[in-house]
Formats: sequence, C-alpha cells, structure tokens
Amino acid sequence: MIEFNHVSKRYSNGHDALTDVSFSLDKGEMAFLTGHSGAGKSTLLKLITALERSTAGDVVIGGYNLSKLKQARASLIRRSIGIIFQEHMLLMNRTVFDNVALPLEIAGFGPHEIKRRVHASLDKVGLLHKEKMLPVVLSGGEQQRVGIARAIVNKPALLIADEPTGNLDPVLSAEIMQLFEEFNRVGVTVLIATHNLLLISAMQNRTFNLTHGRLTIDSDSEDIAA
Amino acid sequence: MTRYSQRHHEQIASKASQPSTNRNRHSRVTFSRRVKTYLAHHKQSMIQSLKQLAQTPIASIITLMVIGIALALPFGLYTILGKLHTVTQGWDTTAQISVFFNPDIPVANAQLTADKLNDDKRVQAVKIIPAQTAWQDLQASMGLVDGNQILPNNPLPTTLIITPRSTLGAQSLEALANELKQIQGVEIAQQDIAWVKRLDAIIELARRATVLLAALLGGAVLFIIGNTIRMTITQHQHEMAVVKLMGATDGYVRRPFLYTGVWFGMGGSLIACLIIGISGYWLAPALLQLFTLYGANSLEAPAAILDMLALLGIGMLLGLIGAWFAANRQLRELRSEG
Repeated sequence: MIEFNHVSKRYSNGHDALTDVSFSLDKGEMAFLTGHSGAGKSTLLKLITALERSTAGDVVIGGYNLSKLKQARASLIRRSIGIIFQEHMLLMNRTVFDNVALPLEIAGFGPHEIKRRVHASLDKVGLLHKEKMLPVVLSGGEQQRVGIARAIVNKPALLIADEPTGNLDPVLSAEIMQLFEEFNRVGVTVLIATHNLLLISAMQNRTFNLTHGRLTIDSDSEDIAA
Repeated sequence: MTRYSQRHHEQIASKASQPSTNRNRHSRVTFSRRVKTYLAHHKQSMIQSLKQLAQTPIASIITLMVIGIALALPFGLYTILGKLHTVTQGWDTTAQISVFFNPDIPVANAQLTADKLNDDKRVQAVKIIPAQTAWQDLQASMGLVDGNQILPNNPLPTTLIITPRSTLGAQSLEALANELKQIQGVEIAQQDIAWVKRLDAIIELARRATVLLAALLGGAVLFIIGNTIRMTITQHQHEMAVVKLMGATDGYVRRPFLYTGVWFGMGGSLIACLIIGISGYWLAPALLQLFTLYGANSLEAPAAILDMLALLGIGMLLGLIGAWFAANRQLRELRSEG
C-alpha cells in the first residue's frame, strides 16, 4: 500500500527533512511512526498524501508513483486517503454534518449518497446526535472524532493520522486508538504518526522511528537500527 | 456498533480488499453524476460568493463604487465619442468641395469634367449646377421676377458640388482640391480644409486619450478586484487548505473566488452604467448645443443598450481575470507551504 524507495526530501531552504528513507507497508497493516519533533514525521506524511514531492527516490501509494504524478492527479489520489490531523482542521463555520460531507462533495457524490454515508460515518464515531452542531461547541475529543468521521467517510483504503491524540487525555487517546484498530481489523491500512510512546508500547504494532530524517528503527526488520 | 456502522464497516473492508484502490473508487461516481455535481458546485459557488459579499455590505459597496467609477470614466468618454460620430456624419456635407468654372466655359465642358470626377475613386458624388440654373435659383430666392433687369448678364459661374468619400482624410482632401484647381477652366476649388483638419485632430486626440484612459483604468479595476479577492482569500485561507487536503482540485478551490470576481465586475459595471446614464442626462443639453454648432442635428446614440451590455461583459471579464490571478497566487502559496 505504501512503498518508499530511497526517498529524500530537501526543502527549498536547503533543509534535509528526509534522507534515503526506504520501507513498505502492506495492505491491511497498521503501523506507528515515531521520532522527535523535527525528525521528518510530518514531511513523510506529506509525501504520502502528495502534499509534497520527494527530491529523490520514489513514493508509491496504492500502485501510483507519486513522484511522477501531475498536480491535478495528486488531488484525486488524496481522495482515496483518509487524513486525520492533530489540530483537526475542521471548518468552524460549518456544521458537523457539513464538515464530514466535505470529501464526498469534492468527490462529486449526490446528496442522497452523501447523507447516507455521513450518517454511517458519524454513527461509527458516536456523534450522529451532534450532526447539526458547529464544531466549536464540541470538546477536543469530539472534534477529533469529527475529523476521523470525515477521514473515513469516503471509505479510504488508507488512513493517515498525524498526532491524532496529541491534545487528548489518556482515556480519550485510548478510545481514538481503539477506533483505528477497528478500522484496521476490517482491512484498512493505517499509519499513525505519534510521539506517545506509552500508547505504542501498549498496542504492539509495527513501529518506524525517524531520527534527523533517517529511518533508524523498523520494528519488523531490526537490522535498520543505527 | 449499530447495524448502520456495521454495514459501513463491511463496505470499508470490501473496499480495502480490492486490488486497485483509486481506479475503482472513482468509477463509483458516474460521469453524469459528476457533471451534475460540477454544475451544482458552480451554483453553490455562485450563491456562496454572493452571500459572502452581502456579509460585508459596506466594504462590498465601497469596492463596487470604486470599480464603477473606474469603469465609468473611459466608457463615458467612449459614449461621448460615439456621439461625436454623429457630427462626422454631418461632415459629409460640410466637407464638400465647390468647383467654380470660368464663366466662359460652356456647360458641356463642365459636364465632361463632372463625368470624369464621377469615375474618381475618391469622389462619392458630383452635382452639377449649370450657370443658368444657379441664376434662376438665386432670382427665385431673392424674389426677383426678372433679375436681368438689374444685371444684364448672368453673373454666376457653372459650379460642381463634389462630395468626397467620407473615408478620405484631411490630407487627401487637400490633394483632391489642389488637383481640381489644375483642371482647365476651373477658377476656384474651395473647401474648408482647416475645419476638417481641426475636427480630425480633436477626434483622434480624444480617441487616443480614451484608449489610454480605458487601458489604465481597466488595469486599475484588475488590481482593485485582485486585491479585494486577495483579502477575501486571506480570510478563507484555512478553509482553502482544508478543502485542498480533502482532495479538491485547484479548480474547485478557485471557483467561489472567481465568482466573487465576476460579481464585483458585474456590480461595478452596473454602477458604471448608472453613472454614465445620469451624467449623460445631465450633459445632453450642453452636448446638443455644441454639436448643433458643428452641424449635427441629433444626439441619438443608436447602440446604447449594446454599449451597456459590452460594458457589463468587459467588467465581468476584468473581474474574472483579477480573481484568477489572486486565487492562483494563493494556490501556489498553499502548494509551497504544503
């Protein structure tokens, strides 16, 4: 599902965010991505979601080589990936329903189908009864769940989460993680960037560690360890 | 887990087990559905952008006024120039050249010259007034029964009234008049060249000034709309970023802003039409007086509606272009920020 072949990313200001990163994540796998802040986690996720392009090496997502993709095509790829952000990235002037419906509207679904899917998605995260509310009146955990509902509404085969529990207390974090596990159980590939080591150790999933832009640990192949 | 989400979950699972994610995913939205949603998004962008303008009425009205005035100036001048055209139609008669023959020359000779001139490409019409006819006309207009009682001989020469083609410039007119003087038997070939030259120069100057003014103010409208859209975009930066993250194409993100630009252009044009209409009403008597002095007899502007429609079209186009540049700039920035 995700394949990195000797990927490097250097920003225009000369900063090397990633250096020679290679790994692959199979369909249906769930993995964590860890590393100190500035280690290149966000850059790696941006490469997967085609928000950035690698300066060297190939990023292949679901069979598509993103390094060779045109901008317009990259938008279409993004529709097949569910993305969850630490700061939720909700539109505060739109209702919960409208926020979750956004990816479907963009993808061009009809109103009937949108309603059906948004309801299913909100039901999954336990927020169906709050569909008409504005995100501001929701708690941090609820806002994050709206973000998750939005990420899964288009039934993506791949879920990417950037510090999804960053602002949440341990109980809420565990709940969110449980949601991810549920998605993974039905075959969704999940990659979660986090620095919450406690959570990772509790879940025993495959873990990648980035240090200064280099992949130093891949718990599946110990030989990478620096 | 409710039955609802169970089903959804199974759908996700079945989806994930399919070999190629993207191709299958997009084929789930049929082509006709996509056309429908594309049109629906146009409609939504149209309404949404209008609502946004209405949310900040004062700022919107100020912007519209500025655009309106900027558009009204060149178009107002253009309208006046259009009315000047009615004067240049009167020019046809004013610019006639009168050729007076020597009284000794027989009418037949004058007729011969007239026939030749009729074949000249520069000449539109030639009217011959034989000396005898001219004399009779003069007597009639003076109320004389028999003019010969006062003057024993007809004092008037045979005259050719030559109407040059209206496409002829002042210089060619002068050349034609000079040629006519060379014809044997012609005593005088006379026309008011200075007047034609003066009018020509004024119209040309006004035309150029209007084009220049239109270009400058058109550019100003572009910048005004571009800048206004840029400010609107700054307020919606977050929204743009989110929509882009959800897989929206540039076109999707740009659309509402393009409509904002078109609305500004359209509203500004309508205000410009209003300004031109009111000023025209106020200036009309003065213009009519001036034009009458130059020999025009009406102030009719035949294509006023068409002019206004053109103004509307140009205004909307300028709005669209200005918004396009502003939105693209923002999209580029989004891309570089990631």
